[in-house]
Amino acid sequence: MENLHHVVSGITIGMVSGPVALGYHLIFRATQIIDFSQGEKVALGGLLALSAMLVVGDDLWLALIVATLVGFAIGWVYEWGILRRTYGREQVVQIIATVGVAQIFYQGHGLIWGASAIPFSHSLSGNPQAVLELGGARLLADRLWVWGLVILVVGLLHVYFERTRHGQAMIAAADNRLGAQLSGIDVGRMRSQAVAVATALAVLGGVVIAPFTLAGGSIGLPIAVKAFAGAMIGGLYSPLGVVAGSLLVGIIESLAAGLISYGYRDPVAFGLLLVVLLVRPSGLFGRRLTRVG
Amino acid sequence: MRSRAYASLALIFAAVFAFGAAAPSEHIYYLQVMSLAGIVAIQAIGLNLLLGGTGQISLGQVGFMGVGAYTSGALLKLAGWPFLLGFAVAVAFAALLGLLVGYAALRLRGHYLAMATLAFGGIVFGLIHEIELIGGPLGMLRIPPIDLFGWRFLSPQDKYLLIWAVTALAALAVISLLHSRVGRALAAIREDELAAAAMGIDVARYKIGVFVIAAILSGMAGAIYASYLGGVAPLRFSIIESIALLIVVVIGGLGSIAGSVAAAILLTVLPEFLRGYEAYRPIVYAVALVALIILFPGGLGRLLQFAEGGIAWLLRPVRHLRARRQPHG
Repeated sequence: MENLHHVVSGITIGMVSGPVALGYHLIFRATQIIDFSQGEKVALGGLLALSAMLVVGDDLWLALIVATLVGFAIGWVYEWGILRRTYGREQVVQIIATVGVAQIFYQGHGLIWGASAIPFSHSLSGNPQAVLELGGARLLADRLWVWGLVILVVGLLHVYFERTRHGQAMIAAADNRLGAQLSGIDVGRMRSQAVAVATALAVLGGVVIAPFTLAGGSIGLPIAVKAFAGAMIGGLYSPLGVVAGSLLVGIIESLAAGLISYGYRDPVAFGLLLVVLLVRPSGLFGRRLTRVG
Repeated sequence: MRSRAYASLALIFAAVFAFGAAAPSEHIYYLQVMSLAGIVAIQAIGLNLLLGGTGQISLGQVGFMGVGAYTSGALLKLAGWPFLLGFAVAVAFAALLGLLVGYAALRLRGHYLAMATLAFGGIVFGLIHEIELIGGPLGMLRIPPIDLFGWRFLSPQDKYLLIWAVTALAALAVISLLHSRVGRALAAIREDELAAAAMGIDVARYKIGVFVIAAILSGMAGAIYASYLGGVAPLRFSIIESIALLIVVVIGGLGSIAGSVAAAILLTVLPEFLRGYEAYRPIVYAVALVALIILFPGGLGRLLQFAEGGIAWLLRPVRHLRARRQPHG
């Protein structure tokens, strides 16, 4: 029973890092860059929601939408201002640039909202204590809302990329730049959009995790590494694999926290990433066998 | 180029040692600040060899420093070992981990290597934060001081001179390595691994080798740091510190050892004069990192070359006049 509890909380963590990992996938597919600032955008999410509620009132759902839109805008500016200037340059330059941006986000939200994390008492279901009884198991209603919301978002993205002309254009631009350009697709614009959507996804993840943790502070780095571990397990190229990988990492991490000690959950999740990188770089669900590097 | 690299380094070290020898006792505070700059410089030299030498990246470099500091600290304090023995074992342990990470780096490149080293640094930080034997989140206090064959380094001046002597040796060793056959092999690997291998360069050995050297330098810095301060705490070995080290190397200029040493001093000492703006320092550094890497990846080292070019340009009219005057005269 105790273990089941860990699995449930692991699913929630995995559900939240799912969109973040999907962001890695989007940016990598569109630009061949792994964006190290993805985790700090999550930290930004909770804080944006807090500030949004000062304007729109005490409504987390409205704040979620506002924060996600702001995240989209931030991502667009970030791609246009910084990321775009590193395309086609050495990987070291790209890495240092996105690591630097992660630092700018981290120090920036420290300056605006304060260095320590802020309590976040708002709830998606309206009552943070609301509990659902499911065949004897007790489940926080908030967790169900998070699961549902993430499944909805991932599903919508899937439909967008597979079924709409616009989504298909984005995939074309990512997978074959020259071919897409010849077909009249504005590749630069598609890249901006990919980064903007990825940022919006990270911010969304940040808003929905905030009720379970805190907003801001130094939650960005662990999430960055764990979501990346999920993305790698899922094989960076497969969107649904990426989300499944994140769920797996979340569950393993929560089990480790419960069975060993809470303090060891980060080292365990980080170690998992190292093992995946070294043993199976194309991921468990990777369709393509890609050489890493 | 070669003599110039040594020249700027010699100039920096002359100033550093002159300051250390001349600093009166009321400047103890600045001796301490500069000693910590030396600890940073030792590591920056190693990271620059890795980054500028072979183009491999490490986002968890301070993890090796943590391994060195905690291994040496625990052996000295808990097991009562003499300093040199604890230091040697700590550095060997860091080197062994460097070997493992370097081996892994053969399979992982670019972004993947960056993420793997980030995870390595995170694991080291997580473990030293959790293991109760070495103090957990509070760290260790009362680590015995540096002691070489019965000569204990207790005064700030002695410690300063020792740290900077180690820094000078490290800088000299790495710079002569870069200017030797090995350095040319590293440059070949950085430019094109396949071509380097085709020329008979043992790519794997060199790539692992620089990781080990960088880990040794960080491990040394850590072991010295633990005994220098007489205590360690996990927060000094967090990922943020690894990023700070990366900032030092980028501001100093990729591949410029003299630049790395200069940047280590500049970035450690400058904040002392900007006390009122302390809160803004990290974000200014972060913005500088992004701006420099995108617009000016040469850093301080390149700036020195520009400065020389600029002086030559300013002197141009003088030379011009002289050249014109000569026919008449």
